[in-house]
Amino acid sequence: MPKPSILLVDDSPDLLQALKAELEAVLNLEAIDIREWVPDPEQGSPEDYFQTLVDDQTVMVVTDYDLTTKMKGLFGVSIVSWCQARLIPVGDYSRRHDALPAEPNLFEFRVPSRAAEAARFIASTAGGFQDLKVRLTEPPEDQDQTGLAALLAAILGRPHLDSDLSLYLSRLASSNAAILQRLKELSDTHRVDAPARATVISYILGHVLLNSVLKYPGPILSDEALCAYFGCDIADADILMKLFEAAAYSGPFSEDGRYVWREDVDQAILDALSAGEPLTAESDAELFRLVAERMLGATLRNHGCPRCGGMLGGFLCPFTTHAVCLREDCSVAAVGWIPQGAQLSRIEKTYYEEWAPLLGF
Amino acid sequence: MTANEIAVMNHVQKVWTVVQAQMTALYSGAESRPNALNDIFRFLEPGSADEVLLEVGPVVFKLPEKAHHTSAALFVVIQGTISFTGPDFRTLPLKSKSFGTEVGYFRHERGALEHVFGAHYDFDVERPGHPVFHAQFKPVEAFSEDVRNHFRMKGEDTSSISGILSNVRLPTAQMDAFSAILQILSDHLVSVKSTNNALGNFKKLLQTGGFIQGTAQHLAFLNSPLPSHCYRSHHWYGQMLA
Repeated sequence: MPKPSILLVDDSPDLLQALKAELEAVLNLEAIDIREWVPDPEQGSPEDYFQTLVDDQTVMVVTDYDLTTKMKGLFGVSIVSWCQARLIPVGDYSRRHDALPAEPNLFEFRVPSRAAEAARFIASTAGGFQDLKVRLTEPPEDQDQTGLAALLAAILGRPHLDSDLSLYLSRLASSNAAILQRLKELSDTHRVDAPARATVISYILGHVLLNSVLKYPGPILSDEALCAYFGCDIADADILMKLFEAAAYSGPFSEDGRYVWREDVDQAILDALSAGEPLTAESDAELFRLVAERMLGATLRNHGCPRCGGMLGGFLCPFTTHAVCLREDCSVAAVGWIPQGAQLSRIEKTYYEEWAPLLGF
Repeated sequence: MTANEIAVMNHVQKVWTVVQAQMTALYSGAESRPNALNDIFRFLEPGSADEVLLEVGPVVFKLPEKAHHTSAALFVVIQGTISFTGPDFRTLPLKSKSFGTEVGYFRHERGALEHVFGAHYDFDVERPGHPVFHAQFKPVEAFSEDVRNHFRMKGEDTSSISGILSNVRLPTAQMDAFSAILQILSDHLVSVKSTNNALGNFKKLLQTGGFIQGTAQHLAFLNSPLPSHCYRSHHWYGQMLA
């Protein structure tokens, strides 16, 4: 069986080598190969050539957006499409800041354009998919009956959060018809072999976890979301992450980011509130900040919202990455923009007013 | 916000998440709006320091009239309050003290919103002739505005219950907002044709019911062995005999 591999695609040999060098520094090269492709007309049909570089053990493909240096008309979107057809996780990047939309589709990733950051992201993402696939290849006896959300909750060690996670999966039906077709085939041939099943399900759950659950705060909070939850400046992320290190999320994709379980943070807040003199405040975020400051014996910095002077907060706008609050002039809870399970996500009003008319909301 | 309110909201958030998830699992076209927690659940000034008073809604559910219907054209609005007593708000079940709930049903057909049912669910141990838990049917046309605003509807309103007799007090179970939600979802999303998977989703919904203990815990006339093994409605007037 071939070794697991990551395929890097770039029309600039120098930039590709730079990325490869950074990736070699963070990967275990005994466990995974790095393949490379600089598209060239002498290779014949790009799609046919691509198919020779990938196989069932390809963990991830990473491609530049513009591949037209030698191959006229070849863009990363084609690579993305071929990967999606084969259920290979794919990320793309562009060194031109306006070439790619900041928000990828559910079944693709946006890779940082700087080589060192990109390498960390690729290593973490590839590792996360491999982790999921291994866990799904050895299914528990009743795994067939549990459903995707319950499976993911079980893998993350939080089976009671299946409802929370199912609310991130509710729009799967509209995201990619080809993938849904593969899911249907899986359910129709009930006893399909475990590796094939693991490939399909790890592909879906991996994307949902990385592009939805970890990105739109709900049951799991990034450091930006945690700071917003406490209504404090992102500069205090290190302090808060240290304070709540017992709540750390250490599951798939945790290597290139810091995350905590919200329910554990909530328990710690309640424990701290019960232990000391009563505290009250106008909003959750203010109260949580008071609690955290009491736990730390230090003051946290207010976030920089010009509307409330950084006093409120409690929610994160995943598009502007600013802390927002429930004030009508601050944020909206926009149906359709944010997964239903992302209870700590709200859209900053200024951003919403700019884009809602264009999108018909 | 107080520590007690945060503890209650944590429980409410978990229950609401299950409600949302299982409702969608039972019928993919079912939805509720608003769906942000803080837009649905708010705290009011309680009657005492050892209480938490929660306001619920208005929240609008979009449902099929029957579980096997292919379209969801029934809109049900729920609004209510429920109070809980302490001292412990972290351990379940939360102990309810009083409640009041209003529900309004609207059928959307041929561009019009027809008010087809309305009720007020109440808790009363003071007034003679009032069963302790009861329902009174009444029009709640004002809720149509919530339906139109949340689901962006235009058109006319009609009502088929405007003259309904409103002082009929039917003895009921404790129909706080969470009980009403469970009743509404089971009426319209569960049927004899429901699959085993669907019944499993319904069971998960039912299991959320245990997060609240009813106000009957405070009422000696309902806690004695006879009422709890009988359930005939005369027990619901037991405060007269106390």
